[in-house]
Amino acid sequence: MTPLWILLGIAAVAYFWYASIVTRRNKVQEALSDIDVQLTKRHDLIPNILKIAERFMEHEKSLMTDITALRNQAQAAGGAKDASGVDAQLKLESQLQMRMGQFFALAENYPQLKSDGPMMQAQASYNEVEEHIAAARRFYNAAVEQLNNAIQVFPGSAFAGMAGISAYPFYQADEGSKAPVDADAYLRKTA
Amino acid sequence: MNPADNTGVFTEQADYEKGFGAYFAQKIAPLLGTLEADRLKFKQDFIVSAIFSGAAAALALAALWLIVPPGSMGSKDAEGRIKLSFFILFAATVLPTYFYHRYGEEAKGTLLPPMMSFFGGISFHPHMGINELTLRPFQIMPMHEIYHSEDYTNGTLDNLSLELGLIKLENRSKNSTYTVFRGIAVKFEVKKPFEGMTVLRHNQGMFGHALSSLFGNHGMERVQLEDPRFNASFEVSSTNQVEARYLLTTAFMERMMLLGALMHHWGDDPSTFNEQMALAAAFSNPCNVLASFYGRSLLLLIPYAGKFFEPGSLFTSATHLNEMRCVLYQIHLFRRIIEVLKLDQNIGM
Repeated sequence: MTPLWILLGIAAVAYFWYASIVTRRNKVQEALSDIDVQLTKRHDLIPNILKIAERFMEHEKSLMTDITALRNQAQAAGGAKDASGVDAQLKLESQLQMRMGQFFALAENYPQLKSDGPMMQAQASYNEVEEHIAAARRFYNAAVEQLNNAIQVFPGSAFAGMAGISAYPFYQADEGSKAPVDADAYLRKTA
Repeated sequence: MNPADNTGVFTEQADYEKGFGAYFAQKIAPLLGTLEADRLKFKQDFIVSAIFSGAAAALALAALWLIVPPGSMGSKDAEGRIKLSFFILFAATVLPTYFYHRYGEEAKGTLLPPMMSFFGGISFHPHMGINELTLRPFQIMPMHEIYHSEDYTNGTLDNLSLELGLIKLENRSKNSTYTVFRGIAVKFEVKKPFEGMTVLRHNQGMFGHALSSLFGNHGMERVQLEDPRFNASFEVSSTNQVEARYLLTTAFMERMMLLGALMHHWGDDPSTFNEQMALAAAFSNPCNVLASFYGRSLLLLIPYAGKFFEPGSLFTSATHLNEMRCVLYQIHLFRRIIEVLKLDQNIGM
């Protein structure tokens, strides 16, 4: 009888271990869904912002075209649930965020645009969405940390292999965002 | 105590007292004469009642121990006499205590309304409390059976609506009650409503966390945040993981710790309290403040067992302004809460 109880105990522990890994994977996917909700809001806002800015920023057409293209690519990559798809999506969204940052920095050179009511409102909404994206990103990173910790250490790695669960990438700032800002170069460019 | 405070003239010493000197001379100083006369009367009543109660207690004790024959109270005679002795001593303090507290209430009712008015649209109601039903939905009140509240204050401070009060929560044990929480409940109305509920409680450790998970957490999930110093003090739960992180940015987390440092020294004499040193030590001490974001409000529960909004003392002249200065500082601390947490802006920024 004793060996039977031992076997049952091991099976129970193994089951709960497996279940906790699946639960953490689901948590990551929940966090990804939350990010997707916020990213959708961002994608919906960008065309409106560009439309308002078009009238004023005639010389920045190439930037706006880039942003539109990036936005479309990011939107198409949205909804990914596997690790590689998520990685590609996050990279595109980081690039889009960086380009929008450049856009708003350049918009400072157009006083009429800066004081335009609809533009101010759109920018406030965009900032709010960015804050929610930042919060959703922190949730995602926390969920990924817990999942990766569970599946990168034995015996979690064995159970993850059986369940077909792999590590997810963290949502990190891209290289462009990490580079220090050169104020002189910026001022020379806009002078 | 500062001797200069015993002149009945308020001299401004701190930044937050700016303008109060002139206001005091116009609105509050005229009230001090009547208040001082009342204080002397209550003090006389206190002394007379103390003397008579003391004499009566001494006679009762003498009778109990010297006249009542031994064994009169049955098998537990000695125990019974001791208990009765304590009861007699307690009874002797009732009347003097009444006069002591009566003056405190008088001083509060006379001085606090004009003091609050100095800060704008705030009303003070000494005999009212903050309604328990308005606090329960926030899910941070410790479990209790008895609720007391007083010193209800409401209105607008720095363009922010708030209500606050002193609260005391008790539970019953076999023959008595014990306090589970005593302090200040303050509720701020914030700019934007919250979608869910986010609660900051004291970190109860692994065992406490496991228990709360076992018995349900009102649909809230644990939120693991990045700042280890914050996590050492607080356990965060929320119905919305994203909103919790939207509210609790790294900057806001740091501000909550700073708030804890300020509240740690709540009752200190402002002339001896060094705010900079307290803030520097913010991350060394656990933060005792509880917080909940729900609906359109932020509720803070600040543990505090000292004097709260007590502008006068029976044994200190009404013209002595030290206690009034402490009350001013306590009101100023609510403004510091708004300032430190940046509640007048969108929370989370």
